[in-house]
Amino acid sequence: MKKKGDIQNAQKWDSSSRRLLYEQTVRYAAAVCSRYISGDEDVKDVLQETYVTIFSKLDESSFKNKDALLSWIGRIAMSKSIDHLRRQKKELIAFPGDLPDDLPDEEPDVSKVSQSEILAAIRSLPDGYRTVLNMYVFERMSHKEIAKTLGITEGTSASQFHRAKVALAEALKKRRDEKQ
Amino acid sequence: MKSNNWEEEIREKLGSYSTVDLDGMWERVESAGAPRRIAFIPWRTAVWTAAATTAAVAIITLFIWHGGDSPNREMVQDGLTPRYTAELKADKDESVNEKQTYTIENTSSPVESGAATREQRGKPAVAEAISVDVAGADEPRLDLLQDAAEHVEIVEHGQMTGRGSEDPGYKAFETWQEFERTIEKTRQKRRVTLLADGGSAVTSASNTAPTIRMKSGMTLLNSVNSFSILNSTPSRKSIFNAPASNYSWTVSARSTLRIEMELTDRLGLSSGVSWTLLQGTDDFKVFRPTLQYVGVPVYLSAGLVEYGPVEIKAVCGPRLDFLVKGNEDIVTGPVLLSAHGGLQAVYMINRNLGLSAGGGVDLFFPTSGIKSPFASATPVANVNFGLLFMM
Repeated sequence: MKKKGDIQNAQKWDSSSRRLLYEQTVRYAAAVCSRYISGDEDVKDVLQETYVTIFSKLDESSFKNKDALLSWIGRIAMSKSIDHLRRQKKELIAFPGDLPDDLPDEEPDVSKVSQSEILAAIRSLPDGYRTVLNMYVFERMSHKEIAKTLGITEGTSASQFHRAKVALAEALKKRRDEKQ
Repeated sequence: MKSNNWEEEIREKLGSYSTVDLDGMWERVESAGAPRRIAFIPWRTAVWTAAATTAAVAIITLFIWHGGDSPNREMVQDGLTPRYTAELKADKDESVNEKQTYTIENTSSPVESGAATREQRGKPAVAEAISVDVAGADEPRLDLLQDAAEHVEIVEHGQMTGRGSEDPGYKAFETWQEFERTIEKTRQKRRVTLLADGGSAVTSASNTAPTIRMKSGMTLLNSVNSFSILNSTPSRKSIFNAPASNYSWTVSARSTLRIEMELTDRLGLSSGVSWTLLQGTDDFKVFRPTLQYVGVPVYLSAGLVEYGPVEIKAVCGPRLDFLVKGNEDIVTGPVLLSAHGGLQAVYMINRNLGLSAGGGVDLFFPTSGIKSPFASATPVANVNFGLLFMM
């Protein structure tokens, strides 16, 4: 009999174990998708694709622990999200003209803002900034890995991340100012 | 470091945070096919599996054919030895001048009764069983009979003359030595042709001792069917066409062990090993040749409907069959190429293992280099049972 909360028990991946896996990981997968994609309905579409892919590849995958499983799911969610952005013909690498080339090394102050405000600020970023920021911060990918995934140079990735960081700091500051 | 602080803090805050309403999300995933059995097997794995299976079947088949006596030879010996021993034993208690009967039996014979033989006049007849009556022989010459049986071939029935001695090519042997010489002579050609004859001519020959008389049919030791040993050899084509045209094939039975790779949600590609029992009958429902084949099927299946654990599938694809038991000379060559199409019900015992049952039709192709009893693509119905492993 399956113990609740024990993902490792769901090794045969029958219908009930898939459901168990879904229930225990969907919030995490949804969080990943939400950071890449702005619209909630789009997030749901990508989430659906994510789990279809997850279930189709479960049998050929093995995981040492729950963290490894979550990491794998996160990568699939990220990949599906980027695919979605590409399908939407979003410009992943954006160079908005409203930021100077010589940007200050400003870091986002996330200490006094709520989760929803941070998420809203991230989702308000241009697609290119948002994508690189998420990959670097949340997926802990190096600029080399990001560059390879997106088909850009490492320098571009680093530049995009720097711009994204400044833009996020500005967005959070703006929200704080609006509240005050 | 300072630069890591905001990153770690933002990761902590947003790790699993989402504003998306997830109500009904599972149903969406479910309807998209997630709970269905979806397995992805790399092509490389499937190809290697199919190649390994094919190689295994080929090796086993070659071993069966060339690893010792052929199945036909074994059947001849199996049929010969016990009968010979038993009859010889019985004969010892009787007069030396009594006829001794040695029988070489090879599977079954269409000439199973005198009546059947007579009715077959003018039609191709097949004889696989011969018996030799020896009057006054000093010692049994089992080796000669084995040699003769090994080289038995099938020919079309000759014209009935009513008198064997007038039949062109008919030859009665007066002595063992003469018989032996003939065997030796024809052995060079790797065959001794036995011509089925159904006339009464042998009756007179059998009255002359010592005479070697070769008879057809195990049940006809005292009847009128006889053989002559001829040196002429019929063409291969006539050998295969004649019997084949005289048989109709009944529903064949097949069991399979297949591994299926899912191509899409409904389509699958499977291969493995099959065992086929092919049965036929002649015009008189007397002769029922049985052939057993081991084959390698490559089937494409399409799921039609599902009822719980049972799925109805349409299956089609080619199959290469190798004869492993039966007399290939009677009806067909050792290798058959056919196409199969049918319906199967698959009951999934668990996620990977299923039992299949169904019916279908085989089309046998007379391919160049591959012998077939069928002059054209001929449908033969069959029933199938098997195990299906879903990868």
